[in-house]
Amino acid sequence: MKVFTQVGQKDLDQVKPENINDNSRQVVGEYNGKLDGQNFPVATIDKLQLTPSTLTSQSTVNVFGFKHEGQTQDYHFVRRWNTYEGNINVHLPLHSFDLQNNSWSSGWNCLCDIDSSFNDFVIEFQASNGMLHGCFDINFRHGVDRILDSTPIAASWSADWWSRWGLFCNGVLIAETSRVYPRLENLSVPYKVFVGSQPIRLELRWKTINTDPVDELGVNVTPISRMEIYGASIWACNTKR
Amino acid sequence: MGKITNQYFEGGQAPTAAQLNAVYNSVAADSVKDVNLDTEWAQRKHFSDSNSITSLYTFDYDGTTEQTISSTSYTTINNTGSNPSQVLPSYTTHGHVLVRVHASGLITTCTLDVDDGNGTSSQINRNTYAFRLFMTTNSTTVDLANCTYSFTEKAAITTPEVSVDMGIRDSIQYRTFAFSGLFALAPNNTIEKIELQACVGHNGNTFKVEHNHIQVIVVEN
Repeated sequence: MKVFTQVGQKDLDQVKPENINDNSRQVVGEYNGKLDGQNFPVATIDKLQLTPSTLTSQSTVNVFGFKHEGQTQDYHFVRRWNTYEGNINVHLPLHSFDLQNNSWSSGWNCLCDIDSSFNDFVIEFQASNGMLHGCFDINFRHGVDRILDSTPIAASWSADWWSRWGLFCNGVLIAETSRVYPRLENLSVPYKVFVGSQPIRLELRWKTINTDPVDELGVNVTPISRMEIYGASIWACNTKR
Repeated sequence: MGKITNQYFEGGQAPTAAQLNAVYNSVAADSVKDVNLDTEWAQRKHFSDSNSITSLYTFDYDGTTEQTISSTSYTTINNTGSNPSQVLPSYTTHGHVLVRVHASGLITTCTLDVDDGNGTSSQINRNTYAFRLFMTTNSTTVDLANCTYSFTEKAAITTPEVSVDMGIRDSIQYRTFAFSGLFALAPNNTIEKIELQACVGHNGNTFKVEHNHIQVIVVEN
């Protein structure tokens, strides 16, 4: 705003009372609730002038999470990771899911389909109008089954398998990986969307291709193929100002 | 206080000195309160760049000298021997802060000791290597984030024949790594350094890291 005088005065002019009232009304009116960014120089506010941010745990029985609320931005975070839970070695998975024998969809699957302990692995909050940006990390292995028979040695490969991961915001896919072929991999995928003042739900989903392994010698062996989760995390930053 | 009272005059009215002074006295005695401020009164441009709301620290090694990782315990990457992969924020927290970390880089060649294991739990470590971002504060150390990769494409646990070599000797070469994490730090802590470290799961395995990068963002408000 930063507009004070509405009616200018000139020397020797006769002053109308209403002109004085108009000017006074503008000045007072601005001060009484209309001070805005125009009244403040840029780059004058630093962290010492702001109320310290607050940290609130959002953890549930199975999922670690917190909310960090600052005056310019809020952070939301959920994580399940092998090294932070039950002293699992960094080299061992947190969960294994048998893709050969369990039910899963050829489309997008919820992480909770792998294990019900992922039920709370979502971020839900009331967003403020502005920007939502963040990142999800998924450390997983969906590999080639290597099956051996006794004589002679036969190796079964299914190198056509792949997996991909996507982040959904209120049911809409907003970030997605490419196909990841067999290996143990960590993916770190950023995203950014505009949001209004609205409820937000962020959820990580997966889909995969897992055809039966081809046995080189035609020997009937039972393949074992698993989707292994080493760790998963999602964070979101809601920038408000 | 906050709201300023006003005086309005009619034509022909002779205001008294007190009436004329009232508005200015009110202004002089006032201090800005929430009721004086419009919604969205401050935008990001009003926040200072120095002593700022968000601080960024980075490390970049863009050279081609490879660091060989062969230890089963975490070792700080140091490609040239004199330039460890770390940032030194020396940042003292004012309130609760978030430490946002990201790391990435290039893995070049890998060598397996014998093979990548038989696929059982006890031998998974023969096929893995790991990275972490490790923070040192004035009072403690914290594993901020970590991730694990495999040397080969081998799957989850398989059922091997006894006394049969299950190993795959061809490891995945020239691949990137990337991971991130978030950590909440209490007030009055000083972040001294954050290091990018790596290790192998099995003694005898090695892999090489070429360029690597760290980004640390300290979020205060």
